[in-house]
Amino acid sequence: MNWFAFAVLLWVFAGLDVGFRETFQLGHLAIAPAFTPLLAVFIALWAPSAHAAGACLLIGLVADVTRVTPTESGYAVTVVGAYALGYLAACTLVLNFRSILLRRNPLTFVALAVVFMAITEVVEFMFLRVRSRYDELVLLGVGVDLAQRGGSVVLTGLLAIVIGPILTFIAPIVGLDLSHGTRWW
Amino acid sequence: MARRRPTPQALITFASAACLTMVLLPSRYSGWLSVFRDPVLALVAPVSGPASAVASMARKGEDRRPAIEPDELRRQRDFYRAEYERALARIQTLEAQVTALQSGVAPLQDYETLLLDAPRIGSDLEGGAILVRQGKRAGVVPDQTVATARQAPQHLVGIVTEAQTAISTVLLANDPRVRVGQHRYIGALVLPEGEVTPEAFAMAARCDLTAAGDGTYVSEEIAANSGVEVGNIVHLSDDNWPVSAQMLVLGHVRQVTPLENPLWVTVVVEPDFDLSRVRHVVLRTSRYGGEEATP
Repeated sequence: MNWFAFAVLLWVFAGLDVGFRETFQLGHLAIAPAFTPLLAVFIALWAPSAHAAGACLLIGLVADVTRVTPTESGYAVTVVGAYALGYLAACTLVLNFRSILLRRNPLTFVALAVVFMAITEVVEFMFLRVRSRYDELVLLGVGVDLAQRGGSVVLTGLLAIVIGPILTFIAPIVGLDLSHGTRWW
Repeated sequence: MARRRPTPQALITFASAACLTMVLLPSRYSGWLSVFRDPVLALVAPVSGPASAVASMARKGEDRRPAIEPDELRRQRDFYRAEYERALARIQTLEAQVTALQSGVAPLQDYETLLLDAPRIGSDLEGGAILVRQGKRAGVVPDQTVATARQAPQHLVGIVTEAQTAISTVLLANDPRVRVGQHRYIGALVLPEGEVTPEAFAMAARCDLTAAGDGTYVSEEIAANSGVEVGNIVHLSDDNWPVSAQMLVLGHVRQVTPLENPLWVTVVVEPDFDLSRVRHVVLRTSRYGGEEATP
């Protein structure tokens, strides 16, 4: 894997997450598709295992530091590690199953994007809930929080329909060999 | 003898253990980790800034302020200019009195407000916040700096909850997680639109608002005879909030809901525009006169 090309892609996807996600936001709710999980899914599907795990951990860390959580004292804190572990967990799942998947089928990417993001959101949700038991984090109600995360997962799946072919097109630049994947038909 | 290099598996295991430790550490021990936020956000800003501009163009926030005719605007301008001049004259008189009484030593320090223009560079949807390009270097202080919209400099957008060197996080005032001085309620003053006389100001209804979660504020029960009507303008008036936030506009009364007990009503206040879509903000920081910005 070409790590420089990966860094550039991560830079672009993180920038889109911070600046462009809001275009697709539903009303006042924090429901919007995310870009970085799509990059993580693609890397997890095609990169060598160790590279994929390291890259997903890195993507998760970037996702962590671009977000803050409000606290009772009025300040916001950066919770580092929650998304990183979520991305790593989701990546592990993809790595375990990718040999039996029709990797070149566009629908596989879409379905994996949904599963991948769902896992990252559940892991992050659990860590924040655990930490809020003894820390001063201010979180939304469980129902609202889960509903918003669920909505974002679905929208990310829709975004994957558009982003998947683009990532497939630029895969050679990232040094990923897509020729050994099971053919989609 | 050659040193053994750690395997990728060992590195990932170590990194995972480090992440697990960091995520479970309470904020007082892990707060320093936010130092990584500034360089990362500064690095992605060349992408997120233009992307945010495109997003703002694609989805402009609705401006709900009532359209005002030029004649009405002229009348209001003349009224406030006269009021301003009267206030200035009174200040001069009082200053002269103080100087005479205190032999030139001012008994109280006056606050001044530092104003900073800050373009938006992105948002944190889950955190209910927007990111703006001004930080500690320019004098932004978390919990003491509030943001107003550049298109409406008197309209509150939110409060800065985190300031890095060059980037700040503004938690939107209508987010249910807003806490100022550990209080979730925002003290407010409800005034009729148009000319405000000192008598009307003194008699204005007060209420405590809380974010409803749908972009509006909802009040606690207030007296039905307090005179609050749909269309009234609502100002922030709460000692827990910084001085620079006092009397900023929160929005207009959209709905007055009667309760079972006819003596009480609740009020729904809607901001004049979509706070999450503000493109440029003005950051207002209260500080003592003559105080230098934190380097």
